[in-house]
Amino acid sequence: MSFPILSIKKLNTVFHTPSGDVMALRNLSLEVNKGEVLAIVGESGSGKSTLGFSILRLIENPGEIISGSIVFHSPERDVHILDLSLPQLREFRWVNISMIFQSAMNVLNPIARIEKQFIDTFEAHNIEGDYQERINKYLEIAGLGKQVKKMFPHELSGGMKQRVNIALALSCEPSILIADEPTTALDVVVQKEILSSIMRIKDELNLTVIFITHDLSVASSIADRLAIFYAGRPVEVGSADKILRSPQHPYTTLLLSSVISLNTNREASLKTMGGSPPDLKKRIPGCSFLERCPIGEEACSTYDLFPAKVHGDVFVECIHPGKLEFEMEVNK
Amino acid sequence: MLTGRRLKEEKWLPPSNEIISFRNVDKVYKSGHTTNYALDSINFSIKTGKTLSVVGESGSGKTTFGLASLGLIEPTRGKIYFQGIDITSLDRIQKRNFRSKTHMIFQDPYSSLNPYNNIFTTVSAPIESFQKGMSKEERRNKAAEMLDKVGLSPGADFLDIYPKSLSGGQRQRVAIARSLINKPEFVVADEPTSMLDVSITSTVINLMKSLKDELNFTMLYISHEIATSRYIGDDMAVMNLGRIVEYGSPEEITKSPKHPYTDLLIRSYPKPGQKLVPGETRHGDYNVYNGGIKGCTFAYACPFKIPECENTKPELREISQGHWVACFHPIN
Repeated sequence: MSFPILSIKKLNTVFHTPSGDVMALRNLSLEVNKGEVLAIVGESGSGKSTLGFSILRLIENPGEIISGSIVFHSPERDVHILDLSLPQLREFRWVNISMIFQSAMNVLNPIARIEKQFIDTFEAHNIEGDYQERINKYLEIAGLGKQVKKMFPHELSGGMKQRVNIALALSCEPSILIADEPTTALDVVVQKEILSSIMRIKDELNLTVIFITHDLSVASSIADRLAIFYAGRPVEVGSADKILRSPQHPYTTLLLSSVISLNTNREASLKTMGGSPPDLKKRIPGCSFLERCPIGEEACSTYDLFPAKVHGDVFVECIHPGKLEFEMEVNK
Repeated sequence: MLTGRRLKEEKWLPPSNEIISFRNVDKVYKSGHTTNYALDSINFSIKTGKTLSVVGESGSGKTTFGLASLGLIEPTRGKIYFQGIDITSLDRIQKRNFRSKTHMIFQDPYSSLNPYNNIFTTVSAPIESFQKGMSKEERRNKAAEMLDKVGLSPGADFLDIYPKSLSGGQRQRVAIARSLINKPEFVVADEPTSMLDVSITSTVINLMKSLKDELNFTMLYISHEIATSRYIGDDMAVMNLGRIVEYGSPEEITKSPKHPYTDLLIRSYPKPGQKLVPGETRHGDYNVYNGGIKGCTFAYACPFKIPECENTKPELREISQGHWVACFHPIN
């Protein structure tokens, strides 16, 4: 039985720009269940990173969360993240929800030893106890040796830096870990190592992981559930197995068919998706994918966005879920 | 393969079906006390009219290989031939002539286009410098025609706009148009899709493949992404720490890799719809500085290592028709 650890309701995040407000998240509702790996998959500009930043309230000017609620369900009480005061927020971050950022290379302070960066983190979040023991423990969990403590970031490879980031993110014992494209800058071999570490740690520490990525293959290799993002909203959410076997939303279908794999037919041309995502500065009536959708029709433009439940626990925002036929060579 | 003996290079002539031939090429980067062989005794050639894809992790020397083949960096040792002429010692006129026959498509279309130049200036730059005496009207027509070819149609409408109003995929099309307008015989594409979204990657790859067939040039496609490399390449070379460790048909290499490093790359590649099995990753430490490697570059992490691997350099040898591997104990 799964129950939610994080509930996001009707969240609206905008970025104020000189040429108008960009609606990065549009009335987004999503639940994250305890102990799962939820992968958020989308192209650039779909709002996936904005969601990660919104959860931790890291959105800075010119961005703003204008409405909605994010509730963290801890065993003791429910925390309304958007209502926390700044000191409360400081206590809340990292201890309950922490984040691994995308650019492993640029997150660490280049002139401080790794040890110092841990101690800074502990002090900022009022952690007590034996710091050294704690550092050793989390370095080990992330698959690094004790000697790394005394090193500077430039002495570490990209993969090792990302492991330090993982250790730092875990060091205050959060219940939720948000990983924002943690492997994008890394090579495939290192990527696999990092993904395996995250999987292992998740089981060891009983974590909930929100994994943000643009790469459907990476997402499918570790996720229990998928949330496919398009134009600031999840268009399809549900069990990864089900979505990958029979995607219901035309966008998911096209995204899956355009994945290039080692089994792609070399003689045929690749399947593509025409057009480009809608301009988020304008109000989008109806379905946001309509312009690019091969099965779109008149009714889609007035469709009131509402996640409809199709088989089991999969929710889709589409008038004709499953209508676009899906054939994928990669699973053969 | 001839090594160990000093070659009388002036007498050696590359076979006529090779557009680019590397002969004992080293490129050494020194920094402080570390010496890094970005290219380590490369003896290799690119066949005229084919697409060669080079895959490898960062630091494998694949970009250096591309730059060297265009004469953009000078090798520390060895000779590089373009259609039988040594490009490491060209005079001014020969160099100009060579440059007019080659072109490069860069990784990042956001920084490879000059934001102050309109699309016409950018696309027509190669004909302006190499086909003197063409009137502006003719250049405009040619540029528009080329833009049509890369799918920016009508091309004439794009001539007077600036890169800022184009999306990433459109920018990369402009970069491709620029690289092909002077009808080059040899094009190097260095990670041309790594900055693009999944849905756009397929369109760009399709475009490059069809243009190659239409305009009939030779292409060197450099990427860390093994699936796209397999799809686009007629031949495939795998690089590891400055050496080519495996070479052959993409289909065969990805189906049954012979070098343990290639095997690791392929096993690490996330497969859509397939859950990650933690474990089975690289053994041993990865050190990009390879100045002192006498034996095989992969010996540090190879599960099948024998003492010989540490001390003797494995040369590329043909183990089956057209499939070359630099390993003492290729995988069966």
